[in-house]
This record gives sequence, C-alpha cells and structure tokens, in this order.
Amino acid sequence: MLLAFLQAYWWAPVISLGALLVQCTQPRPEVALMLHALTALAWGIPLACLWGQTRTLLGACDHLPGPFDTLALDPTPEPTPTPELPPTPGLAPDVWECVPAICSTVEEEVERIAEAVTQTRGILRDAVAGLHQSFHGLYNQTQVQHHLVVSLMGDMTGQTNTTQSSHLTMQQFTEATSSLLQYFIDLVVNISKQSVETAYKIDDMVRQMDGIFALLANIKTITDDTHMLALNAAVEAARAGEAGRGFAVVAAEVRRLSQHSRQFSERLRTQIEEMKTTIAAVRKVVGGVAATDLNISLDAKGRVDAMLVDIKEVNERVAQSLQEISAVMHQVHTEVGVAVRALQFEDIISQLLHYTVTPLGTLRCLVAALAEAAETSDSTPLLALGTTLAHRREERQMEADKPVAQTSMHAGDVELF
Amino acid sequence: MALATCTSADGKIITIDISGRFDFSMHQEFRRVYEQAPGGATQYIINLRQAEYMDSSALGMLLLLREHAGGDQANIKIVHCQPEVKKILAIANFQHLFCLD
Repeated sequence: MLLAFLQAYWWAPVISLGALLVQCTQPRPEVALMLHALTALAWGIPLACLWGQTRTLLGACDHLPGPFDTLALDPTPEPTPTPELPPTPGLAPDVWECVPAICSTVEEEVERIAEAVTQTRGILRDAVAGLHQSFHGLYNQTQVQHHLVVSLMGDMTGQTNTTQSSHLTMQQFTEATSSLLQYFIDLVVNISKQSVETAYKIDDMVRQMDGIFALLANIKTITDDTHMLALNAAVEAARAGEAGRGFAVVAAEVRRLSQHSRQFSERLRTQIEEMKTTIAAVRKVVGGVAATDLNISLDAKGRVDAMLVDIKEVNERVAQSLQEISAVMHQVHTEVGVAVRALQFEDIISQLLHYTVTPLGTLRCLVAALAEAAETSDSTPLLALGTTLAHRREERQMEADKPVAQTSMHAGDVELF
Repeated sequence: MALATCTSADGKIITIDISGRFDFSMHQEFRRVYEQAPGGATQYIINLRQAEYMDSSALGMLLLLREHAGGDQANIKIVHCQPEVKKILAIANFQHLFCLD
C-alpha cells in the first residue's frame, strides 16, 4: 500500500524539496511565503487522500485483537516503528481548519456510542438474569403445585400409600357402612326367625296346657262321682241303722275329701287359666319382636350401594384428571425450556455488542491521531497508524469466518437444569 | 291374609299359596301346613304371586320351614315374587338358601 501511495504522490515531496531549495537560494520574504504555501499544498493533497483511505480502512476493520480491546478506551496508540515518509502537500487551509472540530465531534459521538453500548449490555444482563430466575421460580412452583395436587387426590381416593392411615377414604367408609348395614339386616332376620320359633314353642305349651285342662276335667268327673258315691254310702249306712253307724262316719269322711278335691281342681283350673292369659301376652310380645318392617333397611342399603357407585365414578374422574394434570405439567416443562433457551439471545447479543468495542477504539485512535496531525502538522503518527491498520486488515481477511456465525435463534439446542 | 295349600298326587311336592300380607299373623297356619302334612315331602313350592307385603317374621317362617325340611338338603322354591318382595329376599341373601324364581 505504501508503494502505491508513493507512486501516486511522488510529485509532492519533489515540489516541497524544490521549494525548500529555492527558499534557501532566494532569501526574500514574498518568495519565502509563496514557497511555504506550495509546501503546504504539496503535503495537504496526499494527506486528504490518506484521510479518505483511512475511512475505508475503518469500514473494513472489524474484530481485531490488540491493545484496544478494553472498554476503558485508551486514545493513545501503541508505539510502532514509524516509516520515514517525505512531507506531502496539504489541504486547502479552511478545510484543514475544520478537521479539529470534526475530530472532537467524532470523539464525542464515539464516546456516546460506547456509553450506550455499555448501558445496553448492563440492562440486558440484568433483565435476562431476572427472567431466568423468574422462569426457574415459576417452574419450581408448578412442580410444588403438581405434587400437592397428586397427593391430595391420592389421599381422597386412597390410591397412595400414605402413612396417615387413620383417616378413611370415602370409599372405605362407604364400604364399611354397607357391610355394617348387611350385618344388622342379617341380625334382624335371625332374631325374627328365633322369635317365630319361640312363638311355635308357645303354641306347643298352650297345647300342653289344653291337655292339662282335659285331665282336670277327668279329675272333676272323678270327684263328682266320688261325691255321689259318698252320698249313696251315707244313705245305705242310715238304712243299716245301728250297725251302719261306723260306715256312715267313713262315708262322711269320703264326702269331705271329695269336696277338697273339687276345690283343689278348681284352683288348678284358675291357675292354668291365668297361665294361659300370661302366655297369650308373651306370644303378643314375641310377635312384636318377630315382625320388623324391612323396607327402611332396604332403602338405606339401596342408597349406600348407589353411593358406592358414585364414588367409583368420582375415583375414575380423579384418575383421569390426574393424567391430564401430568400432561399439563409436561407442557409447562417444555414451555419453560423453550423460554430459557430463548433467553440465550442475551449471550449472543452481548457478544455482538462487545465486538463494537474494538472498532470504537480504532475510531478513537484514528480521530486522536488525526487531531494531533491537524494540530502539529505532523502526519507521521497518523500514517503509521494507517499502515498498522492496513496490515491488520490484511491479516483479518486471511481468516475465514466471522466469530459470531449465528443468524437465528433456532440453531442448536440447550441442555437445561 | 290367606294361605292355601295343595299336595301333589304322590305327596312329594307341597305347594303353599300365600295372598295378602305375609306376616306374623300367619305363623300358626303356615306351621300347621308342613307339620300336619304326611311325611315324604321332598319339595316345597311357595307361591307368592298374591303376596303384597313381607316382613321379617315371614323370613323367619321360611327359615324354620327350611330347617324342618332338612336344612341344607331342603328343596324349597319361592316363585312368582313381586318386585318389592324380591328386593326383601335379596337383601336377606335368601338367594343362597332357596331357589328364587
């Protein structure tokens, strides 16, 4: 590049040399002035061209490793060996006067850009960290929720093996109620059977008592006959006169005995009648025990059985809901993963922003060097910088790809958690 | 509440027809039927077509008949039950002890 430069502007050093020689030989003030102007012009033109070339250099300068890779930008360039260049003709003076102002403006704007970039990076980092945390928190909360729901439904339906076996599930309770009901029904039927059996036995007793009545009737007949006999005996004894007196006594005694007998059997009969009345009352009581209306039990059992069916339905619905909830949890997991992966953009953008640092640094250097050149009319540092940058640009062009090759967020997958 | 009975020609099958309310008031008649029947009955058929109501004493009576007829060897059929009566027989698990129609 340097050779090309010299080839194009060979006349500039020649003219200025010539002017110098003339000045030395002709020491007159107006000539000296004219010669100064010529020198300035001779330097100015190449300088302007150089300025244009450095601008194109900046456009091609991307990420270049070097001493400018810090945010705290150092405007002073690295000391490089300055090649010996002859002075070149300058720009028009009024154009040259604008250069410092331009330089300071550019420096200001570059500063503002750098600030904005820093701010952006900072905000981005914080925001994304916050989002990360938030998503993690969200995921954890949904996990907790899921566990709560699963355990609650498990408790309700008795499908989980919880150690709190003291409280019954609805199903166990209903089943227990149903079997208890059945037990009582069986009990009632059994009691009824035994009561009916008791009633039968009472009937047998009554029959036996009727037998006793029959016997009592016999006794009555016997006592009546005995009484009749005794009367007859007394009559016969009276007819026998004196000889039958002893017999009359016996007959009287027999009569007395038969009367006792009759009284006894009367009392027996009364007792047995009373027994019969009592037994009739007992039979009534037994009848009350035996006869139970089972319709109430029937209703109750029917309702309990229906409740069991309902509970089974509820359990099925719960199981189904649990499955759906699990599927939802899966979805949530996937979505959170997608979101976290999307947040990876922060990395990429941060890198991209970071890559502005070097170009800004290079800009600063150039601007500073240009300002210095404008101030001191010494373009050697500026030209040296230009050469360095040209070398770097050549090196860079030998590298194949850009470091940041991603153009979209869909490239690659991320492992989470 | 009425009870009618008839015996087959060979005396092996006794049919008891019950109408009205089958309850405690019938217990003496019911018993009389099977106790006074001449021996040799191997099968009993209880016809409940006309029976509108049954309470636990009726169940007791049937169980006692079953005991009389030989317990587990007894052959007793309960036929033509009305729906209400059927429910009561079901609730007492009579399907395991008798042949229900």
